[in-house]
Amino acid sequence: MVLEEKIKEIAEKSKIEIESAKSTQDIEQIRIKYLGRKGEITELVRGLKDVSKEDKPKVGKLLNELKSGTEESVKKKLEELGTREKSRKLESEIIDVTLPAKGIERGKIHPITKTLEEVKDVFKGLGYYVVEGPDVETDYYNFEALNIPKDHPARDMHDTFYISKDILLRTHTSPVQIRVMEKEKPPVAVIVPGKVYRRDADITHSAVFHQLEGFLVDEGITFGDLKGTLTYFLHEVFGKIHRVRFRPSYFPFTEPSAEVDVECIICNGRGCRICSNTGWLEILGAGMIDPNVFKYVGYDSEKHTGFAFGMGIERIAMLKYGIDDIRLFFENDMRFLRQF
Amino acid sequence: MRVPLEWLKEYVDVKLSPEELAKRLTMSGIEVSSIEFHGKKVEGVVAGKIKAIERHIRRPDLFVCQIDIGRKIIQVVTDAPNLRVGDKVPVALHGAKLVKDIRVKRMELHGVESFGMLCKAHELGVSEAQGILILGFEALPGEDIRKVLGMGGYVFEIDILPNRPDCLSIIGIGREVAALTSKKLEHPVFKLKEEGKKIKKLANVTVRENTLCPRYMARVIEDIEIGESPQWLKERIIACGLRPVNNIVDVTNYVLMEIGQPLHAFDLNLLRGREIIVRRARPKEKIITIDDVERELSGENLVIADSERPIAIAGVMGGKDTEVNPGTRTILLESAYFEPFCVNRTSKALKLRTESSIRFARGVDLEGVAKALDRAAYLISKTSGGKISRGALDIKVKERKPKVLTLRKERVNKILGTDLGSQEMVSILKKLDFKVSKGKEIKVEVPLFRANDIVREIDLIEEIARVHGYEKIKESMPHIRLKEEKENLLDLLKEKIRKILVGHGLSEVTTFSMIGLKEFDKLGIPKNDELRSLIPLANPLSENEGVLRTTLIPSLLQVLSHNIRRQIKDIAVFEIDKTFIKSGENLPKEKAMLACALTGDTGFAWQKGKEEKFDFYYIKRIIEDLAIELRSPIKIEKATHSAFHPGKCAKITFDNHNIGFMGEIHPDTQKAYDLPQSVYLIEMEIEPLVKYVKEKPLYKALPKFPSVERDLALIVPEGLTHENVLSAIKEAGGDLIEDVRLFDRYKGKPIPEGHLSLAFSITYRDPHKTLTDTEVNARHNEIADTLIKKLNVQIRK
Repeated sequence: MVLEEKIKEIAEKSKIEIESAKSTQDIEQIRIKYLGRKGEITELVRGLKDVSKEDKPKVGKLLNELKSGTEESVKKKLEELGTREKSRKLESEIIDVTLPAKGIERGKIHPITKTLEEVKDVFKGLGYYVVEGPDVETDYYNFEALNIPKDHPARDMHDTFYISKDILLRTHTSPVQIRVMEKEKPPVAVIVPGKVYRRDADITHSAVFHQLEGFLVDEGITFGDLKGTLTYFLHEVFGKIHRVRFRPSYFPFTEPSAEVDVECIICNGRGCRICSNTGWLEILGAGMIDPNVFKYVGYDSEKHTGFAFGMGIERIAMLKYGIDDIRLFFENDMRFLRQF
Repeated sequence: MRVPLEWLKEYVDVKLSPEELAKRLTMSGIEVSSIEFHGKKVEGVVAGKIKAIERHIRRPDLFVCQIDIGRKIIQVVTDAPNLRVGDKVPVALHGAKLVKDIRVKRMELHGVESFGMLCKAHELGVSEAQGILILGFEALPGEDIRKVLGMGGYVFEIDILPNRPDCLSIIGIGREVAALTSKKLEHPVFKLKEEGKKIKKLANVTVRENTLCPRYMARVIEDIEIGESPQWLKERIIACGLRPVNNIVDVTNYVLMEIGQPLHAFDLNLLRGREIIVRRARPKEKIITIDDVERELSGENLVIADSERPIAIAGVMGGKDTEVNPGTRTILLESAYFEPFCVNRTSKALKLRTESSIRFARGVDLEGVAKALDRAAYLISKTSGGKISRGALDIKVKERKPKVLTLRKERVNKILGTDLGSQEMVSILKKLDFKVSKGKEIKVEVPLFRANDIVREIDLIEEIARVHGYEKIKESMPHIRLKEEKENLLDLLKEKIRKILVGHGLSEVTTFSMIGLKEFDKLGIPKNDELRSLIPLANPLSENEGVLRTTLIPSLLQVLSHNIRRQIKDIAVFEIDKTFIKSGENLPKEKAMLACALTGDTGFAWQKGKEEKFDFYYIKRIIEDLAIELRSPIKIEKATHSAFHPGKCAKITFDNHNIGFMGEIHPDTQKAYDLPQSVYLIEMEIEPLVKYVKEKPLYKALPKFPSVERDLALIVPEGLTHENVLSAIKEAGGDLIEDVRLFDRYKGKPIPEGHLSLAFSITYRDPHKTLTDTEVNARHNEIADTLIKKLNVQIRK
């Protein structure tokens, strides 16, 4: 029974070899050695034809067991080594997830634009639409048609940059009111964002700053509507917990006029440096559009009434973000811009 | 304006606390910006009664006093020799504050403890007198010294709106307080005693400019003695923020504050010809005003003159030559009405704002002229012992009649959104001294002190709203009904552009619209370039902000240099704003522009690679993304521009129009702005892009058949651009080409000198069937052959 011994010998030998295999390559070598085309087991199977008829079933069975047993062991070992190798490979591929991210960091929108967008969105939601007007204006639109004739003391409040006697840099966004009403018949509901210019500069004043103007003209618009609209607006921007108050003021182009204050968002009305201990912050100027203004644009003030309001965007941004120097907005220091 | 509460109380009975009163005033449009306690500097000083005095054991020049300060008896050491038991004195307690910020502390003086300090008058700021101040017998031990001496009191700082000159006086504020609290306003009562000569014998007044000076009044007071004003008068004008001068000037200031009518006193004996002429100044006429400044006048200015020379600038300031001086015996007191616009112009032209010019420029009370004159004459006679001559000189054009307005109840409620009854309206107006008659309509007579402010029904409505209280008007939400939906496309476009740029790492900046002329030299803009067609400001704040910008680039370069100076080297910024293009004498054309400036690293520095620095192709990506996102056919073509590097500049075209430039900064410009590293710039108009901003993408079906990719490597002469080769490939490939992409560009060995290697990956696809290898190969070879023939390239195997 040479053959039977041979089978036994191969079985033992291959078992040891398979067990001691270190890598999937080793296993492949072993597989070829025993089960390949010229493999030792394959050779034995091939030699089965020379075995005597009576021995054939027995030897055949033994050979089959050897072949399938080896195949099974190879497969098992291969799986085992594969898993180990894969995990070793993955281990070697570990990265430092704390390294800085790739690609450029997103840029930032300027805090003035952010604030303007926020304010615009509130009014757009109420049905107002955006109109822009020229920065360079005529005396007529900036003053005259807004009921501020020459020598009017209200001109003192506007330190004006002039280009010529009649051409100037607008001191407020209000001239756009006139431009819109000259073109459109009521109802109109418009907001006007834009740059304005005043010839004075210090920590709270910049020669260039931004305003947002708004106005609504239709039949039956009242001072109560003005209060409702602006209270809603201030609550949207500063939060509902802050009280809003309207107190009489003076603007040549509105009558009655109001200054609109919101309870100081820094001290909640207790009084602090920001609100000069009054507990209130002046945010908006507003009022019912003066009949004289309607006269200039050809509206019938008996039929139509309307309100207008205006606000300084820098002021709102300063309050919202706690900025104490208006010049920061125009210096554009990246360390400043990056914060918004 | 400063309003001492004690003074105010002389005319109206105020029962409210200062805080409550301030709130009421503010809510009616008379804004109290601060409440101050006058005499605030002195704190912690009380009246004390001396119980016992002993000499100091070790220092005989010092005295140890036991002082009753109400709650207890304290020991104080003093050097004052004149004190007696029973005297009442001011005692500064430990921690007290005196004028000049002196602080009092408990201390030991040669072994004896002193728990405070006895005060001299000047230490309390009461007078210059030396020696311990002895208080009157009525002072109670422990009482606050400010109360004892009447040196304290609340002072309101009030911001008066420009339309309310009537409130620029204590009585004016008093009227408002009376109306708000439903009290009666009590005017000062006095009796004028005239004596001596008739005024006409003493002086003469001629008004040559009746329209500019519709009323001029004068009184003469003789035998006056110039001296210090009484304490009460000084205290009041000090509380108002004015400086006491003498008993004549102080009275004119007192009446100015009390009634709001500016007055002026001349030394009559110094008036040449003893006359007053109100006339326009002669061209270049000069006057030295009481502030010792010589001022040159013009025909625009109204002056008060004597027979020879101007002696005052009407309504603004008096002249030095004729001012009241220690030797003055006779004065001429002026009270007048000067036209607001005239005083306003003069005050502006001379850059001289005074208490007087502020009031005249806004309009004083025409009726107050006579009242104030008499009031001042009366007070002067009281304080200086002078005799008021008989009669007053009074030149007036004609009486101004009060205006009568009609008020409609419905109109009031329509404007305010209220439901007020006519009785409420009438009552409010009456409280404000309007005369109201109620028939079928409400007729309202406007008092002259409101003549400039209240001229229409709407002005009355404001008064009603104001006194009724804005806070009582109910809020409502208007229903906005517009004919059509309107959208501002430019605004929408800007918003989209911002979003795209932020995604590329650019931050938005905001800069001034005015720049300096020298920026154009720094940019190297040629002398006759359109960008130099500038609009200068007539009154710029500085030369650096002298013209309106025609380009945003200089502002951005300034932003870069500002940051670089602060060690920030990697910067990518953009701005969207207008530039101003001159258009003859008309308003300039305002163009909406976008500008970008990038310098340094992209911020990804630890993996060294090509993309690390900003470069031309980085900003090209930005423009191309704008084109894609905005669905705008934007093209980039080689060009030159004086501010850009001549080899690294392109123009941006849109619908065949040049709308801007992009590229690397010219080394000269970089140097001019002192920038240590190269900068990449974009500047373009954005308004043309508005056209496509609402364009919506239209879906195309996805391909049904697979694509095939083939690479094509070429050796091309260096003069050939990528675009040349690309379009040749596309042309030769025809409709089978879906996409062509450059994946490698190489220069150097083994590529021959003067040549480049370009490698493209070409995607073929037939929308109607699956392409066979044979078809693709045939087309690919065709392309190669065409390129060899047409462009003189070699195929790299």
